[in-house]
Amino acid sequence: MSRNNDAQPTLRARLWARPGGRVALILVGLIILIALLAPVLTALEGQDPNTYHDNLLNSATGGGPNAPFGGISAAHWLGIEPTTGRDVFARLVYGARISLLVAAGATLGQLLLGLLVGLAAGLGNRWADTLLSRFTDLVLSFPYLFFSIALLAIVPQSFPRPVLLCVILAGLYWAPTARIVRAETLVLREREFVAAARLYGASVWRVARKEILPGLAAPVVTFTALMVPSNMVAEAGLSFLGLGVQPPTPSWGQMLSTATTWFQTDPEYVLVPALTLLLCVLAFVALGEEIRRAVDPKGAGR
Amino acid sequence: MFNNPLPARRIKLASLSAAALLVGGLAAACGGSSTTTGATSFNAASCTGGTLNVLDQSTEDTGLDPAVLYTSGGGAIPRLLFRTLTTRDTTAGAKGRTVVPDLATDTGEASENATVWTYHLKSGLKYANGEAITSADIKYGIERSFSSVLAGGPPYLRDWLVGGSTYQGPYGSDPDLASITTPNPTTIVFHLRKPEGDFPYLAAETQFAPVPKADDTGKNYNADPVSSGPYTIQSFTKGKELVLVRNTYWSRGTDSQRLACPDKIDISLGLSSTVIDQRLASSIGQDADAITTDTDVDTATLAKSASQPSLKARLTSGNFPDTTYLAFNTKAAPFDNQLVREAFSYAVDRTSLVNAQGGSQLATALTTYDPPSIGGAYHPYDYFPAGASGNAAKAKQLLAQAGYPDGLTVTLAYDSNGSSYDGPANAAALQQALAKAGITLKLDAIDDSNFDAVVTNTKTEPALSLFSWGADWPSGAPFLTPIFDGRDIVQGGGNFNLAQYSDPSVEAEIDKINQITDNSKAQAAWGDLDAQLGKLALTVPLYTVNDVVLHGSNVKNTYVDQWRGWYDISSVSVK
Repeated sequence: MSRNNDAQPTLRARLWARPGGRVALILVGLIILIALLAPVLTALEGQDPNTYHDNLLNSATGGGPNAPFGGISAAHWLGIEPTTGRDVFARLVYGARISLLVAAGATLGQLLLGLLVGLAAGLGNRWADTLLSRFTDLVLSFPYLFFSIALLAIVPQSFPRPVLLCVILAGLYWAPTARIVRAETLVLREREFVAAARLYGASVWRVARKEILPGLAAPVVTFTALMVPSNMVAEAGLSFLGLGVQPPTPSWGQMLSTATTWFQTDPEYVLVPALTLLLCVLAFVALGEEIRRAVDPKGAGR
Repeated sequence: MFNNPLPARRIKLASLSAAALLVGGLAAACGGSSTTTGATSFNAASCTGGTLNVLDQSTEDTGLDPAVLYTSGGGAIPRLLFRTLTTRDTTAGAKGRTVVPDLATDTGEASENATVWTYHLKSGLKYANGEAITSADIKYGIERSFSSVLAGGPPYLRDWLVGGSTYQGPYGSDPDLASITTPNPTTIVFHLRKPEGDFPYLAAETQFAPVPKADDTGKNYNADPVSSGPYTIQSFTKGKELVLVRNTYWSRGTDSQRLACPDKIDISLGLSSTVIDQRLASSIGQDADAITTDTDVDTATLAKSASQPSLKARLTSGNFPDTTYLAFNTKAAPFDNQLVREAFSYAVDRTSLVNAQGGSQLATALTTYDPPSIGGAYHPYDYFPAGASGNAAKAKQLLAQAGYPDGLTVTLAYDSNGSSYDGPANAAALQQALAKAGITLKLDAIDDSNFDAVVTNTKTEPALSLFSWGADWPSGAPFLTPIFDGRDIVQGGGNFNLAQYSDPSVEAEIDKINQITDNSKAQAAWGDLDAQLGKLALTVPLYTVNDVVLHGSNVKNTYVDQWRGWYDISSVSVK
C-alpha cells in the first residue's frame, strides 16, 4: 500500500527529470514569485499600480499615452494605461495576485467538493450513488457562464469579489472532478486491500481516507493541475465582463476589457495583459500535462 | 415643484428603449461648439429625394405612441411623425436650444401670472389620412397620456395642470380634463395650478401631438399612429426595422422646422453600438447614406480620427446639458460642515476625470452646476479653485480648520456599471485625487439596477455619492429645482435633492423666477440662483459630457443639436 506522502517527492523528482517538466516548473514558480514579490518589483520600478499620470496623456485625442508604443519608458517599463496614466507593469504584477489567488482558491474548492461527492457516490449504497451521480450530471449540464454571470450580478457589490469568484467557480465546476473520483473509487473499492480493511471493521470514513484516497492521488492531481489554468481563464473572462474585482484593484481580465477599445490606437496596451495571460495559462497547462505523463507514463500518448 | 419628479437623468438611460434620446453624451464647450458638415453642397430647395438609412441601438419595443414616449424636445424619429404645439428650433448652434412654434402660431400667450397658457393653431394642418387637425385632438392626445395603460411620459403635466393629480385619462368614467379647454377648433387653453414660465418647453413633448379620437386604438396605437409630421409609417417590426415614407398631406408651407429631405427613411433597429460605429466609419454602400440617432462614437474611432482627416470630417459634436457631480448629503456627517465640503471642492482632480471619459473631446471640466451648454442659465463661477488637477494644500488646510488635521475617511457610493457615466473609472480617479489631500475614499460599488433606488431614497442615501443630472429641456428650471428646492425633498424614494438642502428664501426665489415669461430674463435669473447656491458647496460639479457622433460620407447638413446632443434627422439630406 503506497503512503500518500511517498508519492510527493517522487512526483517532483520525476517532473524535474523531464526537460518539459523542468521548464513548466520554472515558469510556474516564476509566476508565483512575481505575484508574491509584486510590492518589491513595483518599488524597484519606482511606481505603484494606482497613481494617475495625467501629464503623460494626450487628452485632446482621447486620453491615450503621449509617447509612442503605449508610453514605454525607463520609468514605465510596460507603458501606461490610456485615460488614467497608471503604470501597466505595476498593474500587471498586482493583477497576477488576483489571477493566481482566484485560480488557486477555486481549484481547491472544486477539489474538495469533487472528492466529497465522488467518494460518497463511490462508497455509498445504490441509492446514494444514483442520487449523487444524477446531481453531478445536473450540475454538469448547467450553462456555466450564464450561471456565473447571474450569481455575480445578484450578490451585493460589498461582498469581497475574489472570495465570491472562488465560491462561484468552485460551486459550478466541481462536477468533472466528482465523476473521475467516483469512477476510480468504484474500481478501487473492489480491490483486496479495501476488502481486507473492511473485514477488519474499518469505518467507511477510515476506508475512504486511508485506503481509497491514496489511490486517487494520481488521476486527481493530474486533473486538478489542468483545472488551474481553466479557472484562470474563467476569472479573466468574468472580470472582462465587468463582474470580477472592483476598481481600483487591478486584474488581467479587467485590463483586457478596458484595452478592447484601444487595440487599434494603442495595441501595446492589449498585448501586454493578453500575452501575460497566454504565457501563464500555457505554463500551467504544460505543468498539468507533465504531471499527467510523470504520474502515468503508460498513458503518455493518450 | 414636481411632486413626483421622474428623474430627468432617466432621459439618458431610457433613451435606448424610448425613442430617440441620448445615451451618453452631453455637452459643454462654451456655447455652440457644434459644427455643420457637408453644408457646402447643401441646398434646402433641392435637397429632396433618396433614402436615408438610420442605424440605431434602440429596439423601439414600446412602439411609437405619442402619449407613452419620453423624449427630449420631441425626439429624433418621433418628431418626423408627430408635430406638437411648440418644438425645438431646427438650427445648429446655440439657437437650437430655443423653443419655437410648431402647430401653434406662437410659443404661447401667458396670462394670470403664467398660470394660463393659450395657443392658436396654424391653418391648413392635416394628418396623413387627409383629415384636419383640430385643437380638440391635441386636448385628447394629452388626456390619453394620463391613462394608466399609456404610462411612460414625463411627469410634469400631472403636476402642473389643475386637477392633473387625480385625472385618470379619457377611457374611464370621467373622461374630460376640465383644465384644458378648446373654445374653437383652432384654440386651446391650459389652466395650471401654479406659475410655470417654462410651459412652452413642455409643449414640445410628444404628449402635445394631436391624436384623432376616432382612430385611437388604445394600447395598440403605438404600432401605427396617425402621423401629423412629414412622414408616415410604411412598415414597423419592433426590434428590427422601421420604414418611413412621405406624408403627402404635409408641406413645408405649414412647417418651418422640418426640411424632410429624403423620400424614404429606413431605420434599422436593435444594432450593437460597435456595429453602428464600424458601419458608419467604413461608410460602404448604403452606409454612406447612413446616420444614427442614438450612438456616440467610440473612443477608438475618435482616436483614429486624429490621424485620418476623412474620418474627422465626418465627426460632428454637440451638447446635451448635463452635469456629473459629487453629491453631498448635508444631513450626514462630515458633510454637514461646509468647510469639509469646500475641502472636497478644492481636492478634486478634474483632468483625470475628463481623461477617464475619453479626453477633452468627450468631456469638459465644470466648476458650475449649470453647464455652459444650458445657455442663458450658465453663470460662470469658480469659488473653490482646484485648478486643473486639484489643490491638495488648500484642501488640507480647510480640513484642519474643520477639525480633521489628520485627514478623514469617507465612503463614496457609485454606480458599478462600467459603461455608466458615473461609474468605476470616475470613482478610482477621485480616490487617487482625494488621497493627496489626506482624504481616504472607500469605494461602495452599487449595482446599476439598484443605484438610483439606494441613492435617491432619503432613508438609505449615502453621505457621498457620484451622480449625474440632465435636464428634460435646456432651461435652469429642470436643472436647479429638483436638486435644490427644499419642497422637492421626497421622503422615501425618488428624491433628487441629494443635499437635502432646504432654504425658504431660495424657494421664494424659485417661485419668483417661475412667473417670468420672458425666457432670457428667466434664464439669467436661474443662472444667478446657481451662482448663489454654488457658494454653499452643496455639490462639487465635475464635468459635462460632449456628444460626438459619426455619419456616413454622403449625408449632408448634419449637425448635432444643442437641445438633445444628437443629429437632427429632420434636417439631413442624402442628395
